[in-house]
Amino acid sequence: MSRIHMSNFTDLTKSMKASEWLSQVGGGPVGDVGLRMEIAGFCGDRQIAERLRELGFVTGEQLEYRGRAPFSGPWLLRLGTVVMALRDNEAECLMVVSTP
Amino acid sequence: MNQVFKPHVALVGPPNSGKTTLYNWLTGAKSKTMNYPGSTVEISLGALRSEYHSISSGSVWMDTPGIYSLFPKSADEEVTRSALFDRPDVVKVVLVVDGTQLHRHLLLAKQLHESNIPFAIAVTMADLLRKQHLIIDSRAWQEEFGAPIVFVNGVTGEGVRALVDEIEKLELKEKRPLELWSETQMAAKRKRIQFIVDQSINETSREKLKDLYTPTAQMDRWLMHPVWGLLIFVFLMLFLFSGIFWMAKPLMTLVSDAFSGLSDLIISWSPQGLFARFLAHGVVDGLGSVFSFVPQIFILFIGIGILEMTGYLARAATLIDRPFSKVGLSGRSFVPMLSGFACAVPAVIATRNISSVRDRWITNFVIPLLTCSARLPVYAMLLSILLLDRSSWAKGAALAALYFGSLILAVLAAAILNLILKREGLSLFMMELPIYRRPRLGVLLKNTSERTLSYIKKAGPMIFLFSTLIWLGTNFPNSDMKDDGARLQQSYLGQFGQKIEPIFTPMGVDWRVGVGLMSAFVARETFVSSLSVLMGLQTPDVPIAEPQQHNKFIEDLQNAKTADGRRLFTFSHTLGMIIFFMLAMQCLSTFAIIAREMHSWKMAFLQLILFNVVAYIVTIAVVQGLNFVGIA
Repeated sequence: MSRIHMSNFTDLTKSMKASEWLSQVGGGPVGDVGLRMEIAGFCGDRQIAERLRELGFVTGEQLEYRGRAPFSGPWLLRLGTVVMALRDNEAECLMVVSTP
Repeated sequence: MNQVFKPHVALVGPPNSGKTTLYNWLTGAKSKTMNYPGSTVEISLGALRSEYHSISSGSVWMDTPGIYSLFPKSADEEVTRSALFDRPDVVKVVLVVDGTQLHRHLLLAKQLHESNIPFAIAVTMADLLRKQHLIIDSRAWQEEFGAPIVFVNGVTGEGVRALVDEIEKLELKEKRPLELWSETQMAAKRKRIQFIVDQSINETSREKLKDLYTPTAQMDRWLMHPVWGLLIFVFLMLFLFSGIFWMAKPLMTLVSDAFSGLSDLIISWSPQGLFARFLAHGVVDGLGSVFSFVPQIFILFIGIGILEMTGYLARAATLIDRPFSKVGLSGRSFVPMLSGFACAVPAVIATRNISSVRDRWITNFVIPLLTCSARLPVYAMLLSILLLDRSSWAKGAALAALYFGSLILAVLAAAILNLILKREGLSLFMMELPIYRRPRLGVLLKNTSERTLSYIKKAGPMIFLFSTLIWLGTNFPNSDMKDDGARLQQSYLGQFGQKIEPIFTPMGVDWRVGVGLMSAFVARETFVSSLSVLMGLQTPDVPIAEPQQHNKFIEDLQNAKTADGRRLFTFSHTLGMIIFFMLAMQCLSTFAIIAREMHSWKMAFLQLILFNVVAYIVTIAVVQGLNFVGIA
């Protein structure tokens, strides 16, 4: 069902859902704060993807992992001069590639 | 263009863009909160400050709920969209964008441009930009969006005059509703904005812009920490709540003293006069019951306002989102529920920024269970009876338990609804955690006063009307009778109460308490004053927020007997009353606001009936159960 829309410039083979990527790298409570990733595209629920775009998530932009709210709550992602708190199902609509 | 209406200029912008601060610079102290005809929402309207009248006069300025896009995804976003497109008198727009968030905020400029609305762009945080020596060359956007650009400084008001000037110069155009963008269009337009903004900021400025967030990020390592963040959150909430009591107490005493003084004064002028009695006990005492809660509500709004302006409220909602969403609520339910401890009316209004209809419905459904300030005098009275000989510490602890208990009840109710209701629709959280900022006192006080005033306007007339009706009902037809008790017994309300007494008997109380309960449907706190009238007791020195102090009124109540000589307020009966007040939906203002906000009389009636039936049954079960095991 989920359609994937991506920019032509990103290596598609390495991109994955932000929630999955974060679960892997951000497993430790706050230990991995500062890790960076690049937005590769959007997938899943159209309305969520639309709102993500409206909020300023743009393909090619850098994101920085800033931790996670208690009880496995929303992911904290820094986007330029703001941090966005995204739930699991919202972060799922964001495709990312990790940047060194 | 022919205009029969006053032209309106709407301030539109994303949340946290500094819109309200700018609105305050434009409109000064005199503004009014308005309910839009045909919509349910409050929008602030204000006339332009007189100092700008030389440039522009006669226009009305409008502050709207924050939006991210003209494709609405929550009730308050829909309000703003509707204000722009459904109202012919909104002819011009100021788009307010945060100078540090241009990449994100200028999407709205694109949308406004496409809807052909004449608009100017106000870039806020000019002070912050200047401090960091950030240079933004906005010429490129002027062409792109066809709108003049003005940098405004929220601290000094610099740029506001220029903004008014630019708005005045805008030519009127025929606006048209925005057509939906496809995904590819959205992506392309986003890219384009990115490009335009990147062009206007040079490399060094771009780096500096990123540094702006560093102090906030450092603070968040503590404030958003899974352990420390949670502890700080709990501490802040405890401080806020205890503050509502100890800070408001002297003010509340002052207010209620003033009203009872006034009422005594009126009686002393004409001790026997019917009109004086009506004025004193019907009108003034009724108004007193409204106003004595204003200090608490004011302080709660100040607290929420500070949390909001500093940027902490978004964090609090994020911290609590996971546990809340487990029971069908949302992190966005946090603010409404917090307000619910002061008053359900503003709490229901605050649910507008919950995007999911389902989450909003559940939140509104459980809000009336939270211990609002109107329950406080009732609990204070009942706990004083229940724990007459116990230490003040015990009474305080019991009161705290009632507060906490109401939260647990609300969460339980939400969890049950969550199980019953089908999961449907969009539930978005996506919370923006802005840069921490210092709250601005002027704006804070103005907003708080506006919100408080709006509460008084909403709840006041109802309480006033019903307390007048109750006075009339308890004083007629035998208004000239000397003996208070006999007059009451033979009054219309007294006769009616005695007729329906069998309803109240299983709860362990007589018709007087029953009538008191019915009067509580106006406003719960009315129960205390009604009871004193109905029992023929001295005007109570109500121990508001101070259950530790027992006085003559409480002792009289404790010793009160029913017609057949049984004690009225025994342990089980008093406990039953407390339980009834915890569960029952007795506030007609809440009923009305829920019907209006949720566009659903069905929901309001469902709540009214369900809560009261459950309260009635549970109360009877507890009272009869206790009596059965031998506890009177």
